[in-house]
Amino acid sequence: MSRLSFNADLPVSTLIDLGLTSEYQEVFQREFVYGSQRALELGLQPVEDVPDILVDFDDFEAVIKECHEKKIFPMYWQQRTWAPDGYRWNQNGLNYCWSWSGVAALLDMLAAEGRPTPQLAPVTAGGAVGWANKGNYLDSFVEWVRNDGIAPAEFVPNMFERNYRQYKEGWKEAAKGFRLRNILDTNRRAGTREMMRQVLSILKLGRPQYAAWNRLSHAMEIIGMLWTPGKWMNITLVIRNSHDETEPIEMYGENATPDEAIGFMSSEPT
Amino acid sequence: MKTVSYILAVLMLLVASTACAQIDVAAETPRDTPIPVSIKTDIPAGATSEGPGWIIPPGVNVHTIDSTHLVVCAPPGEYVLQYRLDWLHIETVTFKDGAGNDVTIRSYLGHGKYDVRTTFKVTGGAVPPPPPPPPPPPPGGKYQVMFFYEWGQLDNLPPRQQEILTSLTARDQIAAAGHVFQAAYDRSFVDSGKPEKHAAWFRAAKPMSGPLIAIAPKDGGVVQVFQLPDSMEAVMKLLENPTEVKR
Repeated sequence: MSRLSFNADLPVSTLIDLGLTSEYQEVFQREFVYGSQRALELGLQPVEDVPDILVDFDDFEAVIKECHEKKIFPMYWQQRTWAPDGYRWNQNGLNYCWSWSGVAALLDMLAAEGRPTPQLAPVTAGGAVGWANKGNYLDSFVEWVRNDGIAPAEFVPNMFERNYRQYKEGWKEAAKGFRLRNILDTNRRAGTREMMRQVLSILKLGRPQYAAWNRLSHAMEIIGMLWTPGKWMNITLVIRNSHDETEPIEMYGENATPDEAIGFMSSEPT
Repeated sequence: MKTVSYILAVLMLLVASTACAQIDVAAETPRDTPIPVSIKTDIPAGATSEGPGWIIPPGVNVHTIDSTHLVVCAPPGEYVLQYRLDWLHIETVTFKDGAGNDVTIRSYLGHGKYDVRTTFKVTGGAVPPPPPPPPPPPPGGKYQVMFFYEWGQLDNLPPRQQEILTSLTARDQIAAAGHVFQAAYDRSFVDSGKPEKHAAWFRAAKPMSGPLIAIAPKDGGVVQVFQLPDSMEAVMKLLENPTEVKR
């Protein structure tokens, strides 16, 4: 593959120079502990509550191979629907990686369900941060997208407009049509290897993950995994970033392990 | 003579009144029986009328005999029948005045208004059940396809069933055979009945549980629901003839 491939173990300054992330803290460390009452109230069901879901470490290679052969990974749904080759997904300097990555995951989940995937405007989740140009918790976005949803791009004057008074009438109602319902939460405290196992287990069900890396202060969407012998755990994550890339990027190394990864499992019936 | 005519017209205007009438219909009729309906009016010949006339409630079938006579038929229930009409009778009259000139006037002869309603009842048992559904589409037809599953149970399904629900190549295989893939919905969609455009699919799937495949003719028709087959090969076989391997 010729697409950009990053070693996440490189110094953060190098990763900033490479454009993977920015200097600004766009995403905060998780607000609610995995499995806590508040997390459960938000619908964040612990992945360890469904133990059958977990892929054996010995099966990684075979599972990854099958998910590519049968085009199960969200990267394929994404490429087929809302983000074909050459499509640019760009937060354009807004500190909204937490919304761009979450909306990408929402669209991939809708694609796997066979539901419409119109261009959605991540900026319409700005209400989660009082419409300021600032970072956010993933949990906060999850709460927003479960309750309020994301409005289609046709309701905003441009994809980066944070002044909601300029949105077309009816945007709030339209956003309700694109909401998240069921979610699986992963457990970073279980260690990097176990975390990667949980990530693959959700990907194997054709579902994307909305993820954050504290070291990078950045949120991105996990859409697939590659079997890459010689690299840490022999794996590489396939990621949809929102820095104007024309295709997914790859990230490997132990520091590629996300600190938070939330599987978007099914949408709200509307 | 001219003055007399004017006076006559004014007098007729003063005495004109709102007409009274009554709709004649049996208060109760057994189901499946034609019901004669009539109204007796005193609209003079030559009058013009304006208004809807008969106002028939929804669900009532009508055979019109003439403007005041109908035959209606309706399923059991109570109905309100209405007749609303205004009429005006004016005649053009020409005469000679004292100087021998022709004078033409429009002479008012009368007007009236009907706004009456009545209630009639069709008695009998409930409407019989709808006829049995039409036979399933012929073998080899092209279908619309929908899957239902419970997201929390997805991991418990055999790998080949998981593949049916999660693989893009599986969807492509369905499309390549000329079928239209609609959606792969979590059970919550069935329970909520949304989106409404798929309500018929949800109704058909509601009595069944577990992972399901629902199939309907491409051009619309009866939705058939089956347990999800064990493999994509079995799905494609089922789509060749959705009646043969029904479980």
